[in-house]
Amino acid sequence: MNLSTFLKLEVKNFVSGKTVLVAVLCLLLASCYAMFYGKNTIDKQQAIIAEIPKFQAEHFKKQLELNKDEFGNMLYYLQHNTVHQPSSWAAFSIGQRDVNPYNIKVKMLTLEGQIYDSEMSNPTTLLYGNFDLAFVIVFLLPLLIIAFCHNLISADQENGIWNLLSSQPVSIAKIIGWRLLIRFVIVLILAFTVITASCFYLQSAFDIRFFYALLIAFSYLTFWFALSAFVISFQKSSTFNALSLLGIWIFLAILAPALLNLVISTTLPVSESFEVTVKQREGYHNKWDKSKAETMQKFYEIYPEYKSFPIPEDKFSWGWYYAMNFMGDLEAENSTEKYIEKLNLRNLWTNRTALFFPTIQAQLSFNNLSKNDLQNHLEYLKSVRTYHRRIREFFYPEIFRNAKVEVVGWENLPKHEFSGENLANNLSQSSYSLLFIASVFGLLFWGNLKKFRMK
Amino acid sequence: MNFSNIKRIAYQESRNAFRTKVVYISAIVLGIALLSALFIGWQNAKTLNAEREKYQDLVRTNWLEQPDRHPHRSSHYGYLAFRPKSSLSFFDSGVDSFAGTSIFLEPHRQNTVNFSEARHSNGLLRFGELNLALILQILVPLMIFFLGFAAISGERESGILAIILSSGVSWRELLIGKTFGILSVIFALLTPLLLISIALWLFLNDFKITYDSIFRLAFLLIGYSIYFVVCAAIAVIISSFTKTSRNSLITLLVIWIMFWIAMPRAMQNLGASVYPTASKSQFEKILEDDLAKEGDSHNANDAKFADLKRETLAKYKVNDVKDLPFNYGGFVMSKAEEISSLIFRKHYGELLAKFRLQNRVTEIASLLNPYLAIRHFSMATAGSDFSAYENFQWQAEDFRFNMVQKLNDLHANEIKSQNDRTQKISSENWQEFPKFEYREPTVFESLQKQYLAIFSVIFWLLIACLAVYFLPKKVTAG
Repeated sequence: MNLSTFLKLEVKNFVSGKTVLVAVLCLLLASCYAMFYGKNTIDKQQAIIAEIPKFQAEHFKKQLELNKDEFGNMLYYLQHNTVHQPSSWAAFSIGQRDVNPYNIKVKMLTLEGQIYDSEMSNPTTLLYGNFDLAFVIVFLLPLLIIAFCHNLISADQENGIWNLLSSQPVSIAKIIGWRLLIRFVIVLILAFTVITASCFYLQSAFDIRFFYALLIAFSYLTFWFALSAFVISFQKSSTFNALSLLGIWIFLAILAPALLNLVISTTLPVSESFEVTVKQREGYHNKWDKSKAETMQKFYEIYPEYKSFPIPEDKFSWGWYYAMNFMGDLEAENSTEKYIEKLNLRNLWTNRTALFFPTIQAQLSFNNLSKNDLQNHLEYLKSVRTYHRRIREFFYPEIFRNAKVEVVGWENLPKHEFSGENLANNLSQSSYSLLFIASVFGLLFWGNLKKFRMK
Repeated sequence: MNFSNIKRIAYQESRNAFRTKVVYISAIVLGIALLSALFIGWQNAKTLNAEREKYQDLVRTNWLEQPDRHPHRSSHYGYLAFRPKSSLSFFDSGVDSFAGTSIFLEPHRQNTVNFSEARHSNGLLRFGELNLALILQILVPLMIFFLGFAAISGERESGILAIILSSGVSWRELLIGKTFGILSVIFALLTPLLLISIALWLFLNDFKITYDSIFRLAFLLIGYSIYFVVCAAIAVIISSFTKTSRNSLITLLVIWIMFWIAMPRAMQNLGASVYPTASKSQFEKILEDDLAKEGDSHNANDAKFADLKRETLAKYKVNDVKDLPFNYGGFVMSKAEEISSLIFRKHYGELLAKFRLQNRVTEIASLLNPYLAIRHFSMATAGSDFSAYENFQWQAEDFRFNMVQKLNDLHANEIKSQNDRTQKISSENWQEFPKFEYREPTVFESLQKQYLAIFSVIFWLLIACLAVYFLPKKVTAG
């Protein structure tokens, strides 16, 4: 029997198996549902986002009518929408997009009291997580690999065909190698088909991200094949192989991330969130009980250009009111920085642990690819902060000049724009650790295979 | 049915299991996982609760230390309420980490509960949370499947099955015996671990035991025991159906992957897709529109509030609001708060009802999936389910409403209409306001809303018993 007939036979044998067909069909079905769900979720957000300009216009019109006599009072009610536009890859890996708000509305008041408002979401749904394509690739595909590989050697040993195979001119190592390759190619074709199909169905931009998605999937699946090859190379029973591989899967996909999360959240508690909230509240409200000159002094330090506008000490004025509000942010500034720093620190430690855990690495990379991770959310918050400053600075001159509503040049009102689409990212690095771990197991497998030959 | 036969088979099964090394290895792994989950889980709950308590106290102190202020000023200063983790969150954290932890309470509007643990995580949390419930719900069934996959098929393969059946043991006795055999191994392994857990829990709780916590513990023990019985029955039934042990194991593992890994997400996602809810901006728009219908208290020309003014003046037989025996501004504020609070309660209640409807899909699916049944039952019993979070939000809203209305009363009665804004009330008044203290719902209150989960747990026990009892007749010895 030469190699090509052997290969043909092997492929035929493998593909004609009913279990293989059923397993592949199940995975395709799961992928279809994942695509549908991802699209459904992001489409819903897009529909909500599409309504916002209309809401915003109606709101402005109404407020302009109601408060045309008192400009300062109108600004108190005026809300400005900011939107975190989903990237065109958002539906591929929903990541933290369902947890973090994507439409924060800000008034000209203390920002730190508004920026952390949550979206109204069902915590039970968040708890169960998203059945998106990233879930299919990170959680379900490895199980398919385990199902394909666990009896690659042992099945023949258990059926008694092994001795027959050993007498063939093709070496055992080659037989095992080719069998692994056949399975690997089938899983890869499956994964690549699904990713390509999703690119069309979810209308994801066909750019470098498509290749990153393929690269991450390739590296991640290579890891699982190398690991499976290593485990089966010990020539234990199918049962032993299936259980130990499933055990490793549970460890990597459930236990380790859950444990690491608990450790990170215990060692790096984010109490700064409360600190910010309390400080901005005190910072603004206690100004009501202090002299106006004192507040204005601090305000002028940052905005000296308004020094010349009189702020009466004995009566209320809008200039003073918005200066007080700004004081809330100013006094919480330090805590805000600490808060962001703590979140970045958590991010850093998560990324570090991801180097050792392919499951975490793959999931985080997909979240990053789709721009639905914490880092991207922090970028969005940053853009909201900038926008709030631009809004304040747009209205300050009119407020201090006690201008009338009519004189405001509304067409020049700053606009907020933020989309994950524009952020450049290099994801090839995240595949390094995956490929490195894969090659370690690959080598160990190779070592075991050599011993095999000598038997 | 011969009980001594059942006992003999069960004994034989458990003795065989204890002869294998793997049982001890898995027991050690399980033990380490359980105890570390318990310990770190406890540390986590303690750290997070200490932070929340610290800030809850700070907010209270700041409130009491307010200088003389106008009541409405104080009202806008508001209050912050913090949600403590549920007392059993270290056992089953449920939705705890996905629900907000602090809410700002102010007049005229209701804020969202912010800073959920999930928002501070970069996705690690989405893999699951390590606690006892995770191990008992996901890992122990797998271990049961592993112990039981060969229970019948193994005997069939080795040809012993025919011998057992010809020795006067009935199918029914064999299946029941095998089920009990597997269970006895699981309980033998888990009991010491659970006793250590309970002891540790008592110790960490300073031995403060309430009736409520005893009921919770009892319900959890019963619930999980039933769950394990169901899992053991599934293993034995599958094993009795399949020709080879390998097929039996593969079938059980496929069941585990489908029902424990894939289906839960798919079901809850389906619920969310089928019953879409309003986004925050849409929700606020609905509130705004409804409020506009009820009139705008800030608008002097508003028709509804003009009516109120006319009625009030007529009632007190005066011509001008200045002549009223109270401050009309404070009075109007109080009326407006009443209206806006009612509107919010109506719509927010509807939103939460929609969320419950989304959850209902998963709850109904628990009739097909014992894992979902125990998951919901466990969350409710541990007081970390959706209804507990809902409960917190209503308590916060009640507190907010009472605080604001009390301040509006002070405004109406202690502040004169003339030069309203420049007046202040004494800081002594702040002492009269209560602290925000979250009252955890009792286990019965929680379970009341999870009747479907209780029903499914009992339903599964029934199915398991009936299946083991009646199914054998249809199974041939092969």
